[in-house]
Amino acid sequence: MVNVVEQESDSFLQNFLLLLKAAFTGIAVSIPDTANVSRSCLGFSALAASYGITNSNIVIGTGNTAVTPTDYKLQNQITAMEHVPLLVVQPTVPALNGSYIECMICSRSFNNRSGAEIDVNEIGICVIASTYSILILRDVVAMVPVLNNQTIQVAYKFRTAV
Amino acid sequence: MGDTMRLTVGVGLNIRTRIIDTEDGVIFDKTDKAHSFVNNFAYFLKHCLDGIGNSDGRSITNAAVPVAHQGWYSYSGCCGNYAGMDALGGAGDVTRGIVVGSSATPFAIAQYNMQALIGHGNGSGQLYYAATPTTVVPVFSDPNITFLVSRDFTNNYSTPIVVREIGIRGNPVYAQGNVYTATMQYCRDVVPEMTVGPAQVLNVQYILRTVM
Repeated sequence: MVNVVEQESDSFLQNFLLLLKAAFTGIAVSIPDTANVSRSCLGFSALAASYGITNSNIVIGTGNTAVTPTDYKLQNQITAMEHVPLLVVQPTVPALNGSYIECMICSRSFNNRSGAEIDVNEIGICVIASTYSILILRDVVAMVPVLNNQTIQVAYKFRTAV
Repeated sequence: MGDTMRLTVGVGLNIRTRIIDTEDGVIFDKTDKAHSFVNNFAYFLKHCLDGIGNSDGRSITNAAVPVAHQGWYSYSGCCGNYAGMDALGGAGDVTRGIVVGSSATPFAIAQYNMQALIGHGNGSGQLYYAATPTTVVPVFSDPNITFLVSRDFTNNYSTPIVVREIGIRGNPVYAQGNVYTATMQYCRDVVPEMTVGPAQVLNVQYILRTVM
């Protein structure tokens, strides 16, 4: 049995806009990394997809504190699960879908081999900018209990308005 | 067995246009939701997030250029990866920043250029392009996080000029500050006709926001 939850999200953080501003202007900006240390960053960075990477790509946590625009890390990131390097990226060409351009869908799976249930309450995306881990998205979601030997898959769809 | 969570996030634009008369002050002020991102911006955002170099972006001349340098190209090095848009134009620069045109040709996501660019200058059929500044930091205004880009266009000629389209251009940055020489169009909006009279200033603001 697979439970599927879909929702629209308004989870972009100030960090994302700062990175976008840097990309737009070509002028570096100061951004707090996940350790809340201010870093000088220019432009965007890519999502690393290596196995076990916990400082970039889609990340998950147990925290349920409401999102604020200045969040710089997950409240309580889960590292006990296997972080699968799966990064499904599609479409290869942005496509018009109604009043949006679908830019990309990416997903990542997390295997619970901890021996106990882990409750997922928050998810987000970290990118690497100038070698630093920067949180650009954070969502608090309805609790998802992931039993031992179960897998949770998280997918983000990015779009722009037209 | 397991769970799947699918979340959708996005970015959008608002656009504000004002006409300022030297004697009467602001005589036109309108803010609308923009409908303007073209494929180039989508490619940019995709590349930034998936880290996969692509050669799908199009310059304003739709020129064929080497794959390794076209569009936004991923770079891996000691200082990390990034790509950029470099859309902060100085005074008179029609290749970067906000630009205006006279065509009412409907928007299409595959467009890669203004349809009828109004050139920079003080002569007939021209507007004087000031620099394109941005706000200092993104601003949070619940539920949006935004930052604003603005540019003034002054009619220094003796006859009115009509503006029907607005866009943003820049030079794609493909690796560690290497700016590709092509000019890229990131968005284009067809707006209600605006007439900029002699000695009047058209101010255009794009407000990039995180919530649609």
